[in-house]
Amino acid sequence: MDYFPLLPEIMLIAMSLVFFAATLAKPGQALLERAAFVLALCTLAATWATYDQSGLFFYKAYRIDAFSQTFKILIALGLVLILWMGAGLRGINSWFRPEYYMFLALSCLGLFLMTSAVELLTIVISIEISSYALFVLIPLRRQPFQRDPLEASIKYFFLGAAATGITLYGMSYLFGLAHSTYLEDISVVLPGFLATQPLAVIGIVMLLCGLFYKLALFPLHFWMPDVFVGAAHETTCFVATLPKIAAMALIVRIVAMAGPGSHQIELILMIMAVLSMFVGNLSALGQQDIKRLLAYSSIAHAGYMMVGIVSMNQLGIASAVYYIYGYLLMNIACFAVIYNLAPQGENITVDGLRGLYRRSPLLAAVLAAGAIGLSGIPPTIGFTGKFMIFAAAFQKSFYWLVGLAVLNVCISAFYYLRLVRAAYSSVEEPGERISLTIPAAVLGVMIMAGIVLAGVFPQNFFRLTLKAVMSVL
Amino acid sequence: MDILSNIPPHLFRMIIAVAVVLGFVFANATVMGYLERKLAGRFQRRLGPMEVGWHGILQMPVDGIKLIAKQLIVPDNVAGILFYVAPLIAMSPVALPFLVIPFAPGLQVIDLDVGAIFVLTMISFNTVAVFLAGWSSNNNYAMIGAMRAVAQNIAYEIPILLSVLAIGLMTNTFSMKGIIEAQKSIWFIIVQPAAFIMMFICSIAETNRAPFDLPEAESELTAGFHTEYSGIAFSLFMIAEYTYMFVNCCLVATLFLGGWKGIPLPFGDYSSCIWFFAKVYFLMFVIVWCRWTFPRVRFDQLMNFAWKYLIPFSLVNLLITAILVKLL
Amino acid sequence: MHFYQIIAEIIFWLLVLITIGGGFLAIGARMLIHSLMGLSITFLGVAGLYIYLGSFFISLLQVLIYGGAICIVLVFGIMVGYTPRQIVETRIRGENLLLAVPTCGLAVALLYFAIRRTGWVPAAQRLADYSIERVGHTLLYDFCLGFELISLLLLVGMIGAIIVVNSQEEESGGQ
Repeated sequence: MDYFPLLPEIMLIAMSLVFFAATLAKPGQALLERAAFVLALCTLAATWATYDQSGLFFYKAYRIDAFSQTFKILIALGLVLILWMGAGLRGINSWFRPEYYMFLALSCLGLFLMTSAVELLTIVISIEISSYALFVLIPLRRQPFQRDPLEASIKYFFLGAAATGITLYGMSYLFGLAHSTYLEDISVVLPGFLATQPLAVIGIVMLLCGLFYKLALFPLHFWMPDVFVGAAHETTCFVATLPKIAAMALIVRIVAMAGPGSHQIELILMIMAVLSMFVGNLSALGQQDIKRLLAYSSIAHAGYMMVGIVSMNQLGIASAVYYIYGYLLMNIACFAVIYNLAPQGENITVDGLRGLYRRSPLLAAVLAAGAIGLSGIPPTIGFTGKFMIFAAAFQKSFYWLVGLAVLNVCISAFYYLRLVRAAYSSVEEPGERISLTIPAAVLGVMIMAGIVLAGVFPQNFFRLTLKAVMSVL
Repeated sequence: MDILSNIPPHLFRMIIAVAVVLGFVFANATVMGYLERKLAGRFQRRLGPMEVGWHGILQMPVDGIKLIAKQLIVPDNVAGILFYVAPLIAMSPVALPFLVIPFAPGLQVIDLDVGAIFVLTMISFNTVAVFLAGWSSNNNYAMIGAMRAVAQNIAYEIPILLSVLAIGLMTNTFSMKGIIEAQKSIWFIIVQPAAFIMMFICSIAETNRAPFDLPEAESELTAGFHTEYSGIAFSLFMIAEYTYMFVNCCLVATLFLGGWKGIPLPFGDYSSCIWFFAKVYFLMFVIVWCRWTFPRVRFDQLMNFAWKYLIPFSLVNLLITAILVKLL
Repeated sequence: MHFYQIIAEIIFWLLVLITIGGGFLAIGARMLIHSLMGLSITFLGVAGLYIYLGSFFISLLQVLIYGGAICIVLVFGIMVGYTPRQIVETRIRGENLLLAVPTCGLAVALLYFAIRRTGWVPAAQRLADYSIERVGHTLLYDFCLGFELISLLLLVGMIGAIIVVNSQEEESGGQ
């Protein structure tokens, strides 16, 4: 068997092993940081190198194709950017930095496995690997914030356990109907079952619950604000973005397996998408803490992505993938600002942003780019992504869904623009200037450029995602 | 008569078998109780029980009657039903391992393909009983004893399983009969001496016997987890302990000492049965011998011994076995 | 033959009763320790049901691992935390009960009707193929990826538990 296509996974395992050794030696922060960054870059390179590979591994339980590799590129890119953004790990308990990197790598490994797993048990276990690593990452915040993170972690853990339980229960129904745990076998019989057996619908929806939990979609979203507020900024940025990418990959795989013909599943997903948008956006309106605000916005964004998936056509799913790429960039932009504003790793309120453009024009610009992108105002990637998602839904003539989604975009503009207004409002005492390190400044400029350029010229990226989607639909 | 003819004969056999097994459980406890006291006496250069019957041979039946006749004292503030249930949980699963123990080629109830694991599973129930007894007694000594027992049993169950696994790798089966058949040419004690030693040590620890009897260390904890139990409840714990000892020894004899195999004796079919019991009681004798010879270990020594020596060594042993099985 | 079938049927329903009863005890008991006993009873009941599914090996492992080890570890946690006299009352009451019972009832009813309406296709009959060898083949060939990943999962769990506990100790030591 040719193991080259598994190179990204092997890289991540190597990374976690390196940091496992580092937990014993406890080297200095600079060395650790460089090692983490280099290894993450290597992983990204490995995902690029294996982009054209395809094949089934481990007795058909593991599938490498353009779809999975596209998502792996996104996840690896996210890991690199988060490590770059969180340089110095200012919010993390200094005792546990090697462990922190190790668990980041392991969580990413779990996410990689999620994107490629095509067998139900493997799917559950890979979801669990990525979640367990996060349960550990969340409490590793610095000293003065020790209690909140633990509470957040425990909430995350309990909901995760419940979600996994529901997922397994749903899987048991699918297994009972299809007599197989391989998605390939199930997809042969499932469209027929979906038309005749109500239990198949219930089973699929329950199976998706574990993924909705990772995506923070409406009924399983309530861990998100607490985790965002409780965890350190670096961790939060990770939790907010990467698990969603992997969860989306799996949701697309499973929905594609169910076949585009099932109206019940379509309806259920639509209702969840709409509720998730409303709950997220309306709750975000009154928030003061920026991270809490971003948490609710993140719930709303899960809803937008679901709109793309519900369309179940190539355009819809491809634009959902495109959108999640944009979401990754925009969130990293927001978190980069928060991270650099809080030298001690403390949480920031909206009022704390006042006069930001005087303290650091670059950060204010990055925040503006991120917030404008999230609210979906042209010429950002947020606008293009939303536009394409809604266009796809329009094609399938889900008019009311598009109408509600546009209404939500309007609601969300209020609080995103509140952030921008706060950052650009003038105050007498703006506070001391923030001196950015050169890498942080470079990152800020790059992300800004990425948000705008990918929004204006979506063709290239869109072609990639379309190719990925074609391999599953 | 009609009703009786409807009931199949198997059922009668089952009932008789249960009765025989339970009878054996009690008889074994009596014999072992006597042997232990007698041997303890000898090891300490005294006579042991001498008064009741010839050389005290009736001591245990008399003691048993006394214990049954005694009042069951229940202290205040025990945790209700659990206090009463604990000795029953200790006692009830002891008969089940007898299902798979091969006393002789023709004397085995069922030959499960997972026989050895079945025995270990049934033995693991004891932990629950010990813990419940200690916890529900509302007594600090009992509580500490129970905590020790739980920690100890969990730790020592792992090397046992790993040793059994090493045997399973060689025989390709966990069936008790199959394991004995696999020892046709050579006993596994010679092939797997490390596994034998580890398993034997762990069985002593699993049954909470000295030198690992910390859960009931009388010099520190009065009587450990069964401090508050009296009368028949206490004797149920003792009977269970002796039965678990017997079962463990059966397992060791089957796995390592060739079970019923031995030099042919002039008793026909009974000779293999005699060999089996001889081996088992020899092992039990060694356990009693250990008890009265070695001083009790400290708790941290006990835990270190399990986690730092027995488990790594049994893993290494398993690995070597796997490699050798693959190569040879 | 009929006689055995009746006995088997009776024992089956007894096991179902044990499983469900244990579950109710686990949820409804006033003392934490009784909940735990309920849980272990459920585990035993499930182990019995595995025998009816024809896998004696899985059933034994269920008893050994869940009944014998996991419950004991949970018990250990409770034992360190409480003594019989100071039990926290854990009871679902008031508005929670009003919400919980109808919700669960609705879910059960929904599932029940869905299950009843489903045309189940029985699996192909396997004759005496429940042996330990078969389990080994399944784990190490068909599901080898999952099997190996579980060890990774356990590793993450173990190291993670140690780190989380230590991160709390660090705090109390630091202040």
